[in-house]
Order: sequence, then C-alpha cells, then structure tokens
Amino acid sequence: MMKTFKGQSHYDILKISPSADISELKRAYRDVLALYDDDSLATYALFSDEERTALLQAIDAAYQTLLDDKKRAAYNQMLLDTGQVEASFFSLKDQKHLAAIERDTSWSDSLTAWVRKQSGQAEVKTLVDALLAKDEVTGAELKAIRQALGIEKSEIYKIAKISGTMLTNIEEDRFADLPAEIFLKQFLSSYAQILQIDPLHVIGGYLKHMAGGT
Amino acid sequence: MPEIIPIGGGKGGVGKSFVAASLGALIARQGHKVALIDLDLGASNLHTVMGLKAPAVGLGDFFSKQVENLADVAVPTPVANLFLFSSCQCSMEIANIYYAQKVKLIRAIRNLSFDYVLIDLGAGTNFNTLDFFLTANKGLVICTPEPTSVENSFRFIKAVYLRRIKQIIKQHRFVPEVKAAVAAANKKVYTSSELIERVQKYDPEKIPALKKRIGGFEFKILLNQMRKHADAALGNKMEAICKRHFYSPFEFIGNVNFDERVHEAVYHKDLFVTRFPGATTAGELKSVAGRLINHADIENGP
Repeated sequence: MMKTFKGQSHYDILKISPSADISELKRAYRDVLALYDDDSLATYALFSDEERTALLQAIDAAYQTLLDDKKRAAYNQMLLDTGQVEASFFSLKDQKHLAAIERDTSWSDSLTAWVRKQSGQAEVKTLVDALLAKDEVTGAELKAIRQALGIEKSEIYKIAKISGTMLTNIEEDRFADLPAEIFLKQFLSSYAQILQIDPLHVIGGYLKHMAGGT
Repeated sequence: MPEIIPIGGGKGGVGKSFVAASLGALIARQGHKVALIDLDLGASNLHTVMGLKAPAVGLGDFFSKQVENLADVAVPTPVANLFLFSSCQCSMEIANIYYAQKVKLIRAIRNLSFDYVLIDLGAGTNFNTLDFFLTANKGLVICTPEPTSVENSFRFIKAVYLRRIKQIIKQHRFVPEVKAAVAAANKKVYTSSELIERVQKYDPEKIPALKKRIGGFEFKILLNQMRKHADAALGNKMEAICKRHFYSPFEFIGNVNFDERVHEAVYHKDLFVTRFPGATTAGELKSVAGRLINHADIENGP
C-alpha cells in the first residue's frame, strides 16, 4: 500500500495539538474514525481489510492513551525522553501551528456516524428501548444514554448550542430552572436528534414527566 | 510548451468527456488557445459532445503518417480558440496502439503550439491510459459520489502512482537490486510501497530524491454529478486521505452538480455551458476551470 501511520505520534494520527482538551480529543477521534471506517465513502476500497484494521488499531491506541490522563502524561514523557519532540512541543506558545490544523469534516457529521455505530451496542440499546417503552421520559434517562454513548456536554453545546447549565438542568430534572416550553421543546428536540432517539417521544415524554413531577 | 491537463478517472460514465469539453470551452473563451485531444481510443465521441459531425481528419492520420504534424489534424469547434483532435475515424484496432506510436504522440503533444492541451482519456487503467495521464506534471481525476466510482478512482490513482514510481526507477540511477524489481523480466509484481521499501533497504540515500520525484506529479480531483443527498465534504475528505497516504500532492478542485439538462444539451449536440450559461453547474465548471489554470473564476464569455 502507501504511507501508513508509521513514525507518527498519537497527536499526529489524530491531528490534534498536545494541549487538546477532552472534547477536542473526542471530536478528533470521531472525525478520523469516520474517515477510516469501513462504511466511509471517502476511503471506499482504498485500503485492504488488513490495512484498514491496522490503521483503525493505531487510531484507537492513540485515542485510548490520550484519553487517560496518567497514560497521556507517561506518553508525553516518553516522547520527550526519546527525543521525538522538544519541550516546546508542549508549551502553549508554540502550539499555534498545531492548533491550526484544519478539520476536514464537520463535527456533527462524524458524531452522527459515531452515534449510529454506538447505538448497536447492548448497553445503549437497552437504555433506548427502555426509554421508548415508557410514556414518561426523565432527565436521568437521557443523561444515561448520553454517557453510554460517550458524549461530553461540551460536544452537545458545540453542535446544538445547548449550554452546559441548560443541559444539566434538563438532565437533573430541575424544572424550575428550565426555559419557556417553546424553547425547552427546541432543546429537547436537538438533544434527541444528537442521541438519535425519536424527538417527538422525548419531547412528549419529558413534558409529561414535568407535569407529573411538580 | 503548452500546459497539459490529462483527464481520467477509472470508471466510464462519470462525465470525463463532458468535463473535458466544458473546461476546454471555458478556458478558450478566456482567449487561450486550447487543444482538446480525444484519447478515449476505440470509444471516442468527444466530437459529438462538441456538436460536431465525425471529423474527416484525426489522430489516425497522424499515426498512419498521412500528416506530418499533429497540429494538422486539429479541427475548429463552434467555440473560438478551441480545437478538437479526434480519434473517431481511427481504425477499430486503435485501442491497442504500439509503444512507439504512444511515445511519438506524447512528444508531439508536448510540442503543440497551444496554451492548453486537455486530454480526454478512456476508462480503465491500461498502460496507454496511465502513460498519457503521466504526460504532464498534473492530472485531473473525475469521480462521482458513488462507491463504484470512488473505488475505480482510487484504483486509477494507485495505478498511476505505481506507474510513476516505476518510471522514476527506470529512468534514474538506482542500485541493481532496485532496478531488477521493475525490469520487464521480473515475474513478481511489486506494489508501490514494496518498491519504496526496496529503495529504502538497498539504496537509502536515494529516498529523498525518489519522494521528491513522486511529489512532482499532482493529482487534482473533481466530483461530478453531485446530488443533494451526497456528502458535500466528500472531496475534501478524499484529498485529506490521499495527502496522508501517498507521497504525491492532491487537490480537490470542486463539486459539479448533477443537472438534468446536461442530457438535453448532449441530445441537441450543444455544449451545456453554451446552452445554459446561467446554470449552477455551469458556474461550478467555471470555478473549476479557474482553479485549474490558476486564477480567479472565469467570467461569462461572449
């Protein structure tokens, strides 16, 4: 084949700067995963199964290492100790060029692909099925699904512009702090769409829960 | 020497001739003298796309030495400054031209006194198609947003890439262990990365020069027949992926929307960009033509 990820750091593979926070890391991971996944049209038939598996394993290893603070610190130290990078690699001043790495895909695209894949997992499936089976929908149920999908609140904000506070209020059933119904419906609808659950069921169920719970 | 832009893409029916004719017309309208060469040997129909009857002269006369100069087989088209080099009157065996004919034609194309030469290539990855694609320092790959077309485009790109690496190794000094890998007598078929690894192993100091030469050919990608439901970012993704996994430069130069009226224009033997100059698709083609000849979008011609 062609060039692989050989010789590239975890940061290079995911195309992120060493200062990337968890939501940037997750986004980058989903972006790159969406590109290399076997149902990605952009790489259709470009790689053999073997090559694709190797690339996906490298992507996964990079992500798992950088996701864990301890592993990430050890990895950074290894990069320094082996002379693969200079100390300035991790200083904020020098990260402009790395942070400027262009994103090739839109965030919502790769998140959509991610959720579609994760929805097949038993844990997510059980939670979603339970939610759809009932008339009432609680904030805790939505939160459990979001967490099972591995989505951060900050990611929801970046796509649907639902603030962290607002999301917390919804997920903790703090009805007194929720906005007017018309806005709440919009938030719930956007949120449900990201989680790929029927928005009408979520809106109706949540409003019913509110009516019964106060 | 003219600027040569070969147009290929692996799969049939993705609009190579349509794009070649449209870009040829748009660049010619800018006042550049443009040659449109139909090298879809054995399946040539570019004259019909241009609204012409089968020309009486063509590449066949050049191959059979009826004419001395390639320029003598150029026929004018309804677009000023745009000339067609047809292969429709060539013999039925033209698809299998000899090596010497191919070399002669490539040399003649490079010596044409035109500003731009657009070469419309056939589908597939036969050696003639690959060599004509490698005539210049860049080539345009036409793809559509379907798995079949993406698959064939990647296969085409990989085949061109491998051919390029083999050419470089054949034409330049390398140690015998490397040379042997591309020799005609060699039975084993090497992949591009195996060849690069071999150079790395036996002739490591040549690696920088090899990579530089591979990088001397740029792939341009155009997505044709884009539809509403198709991923608008597909071209950018393909560019990003190719840049990551090949040593060649890649540039995605734009989406061109599917338009029902292309069929209508072909049916009336009229150029789409002439018949529907205001269409979105015509605007996108203008923008692509502008990017190809490296300046701002081409304005509406007369």
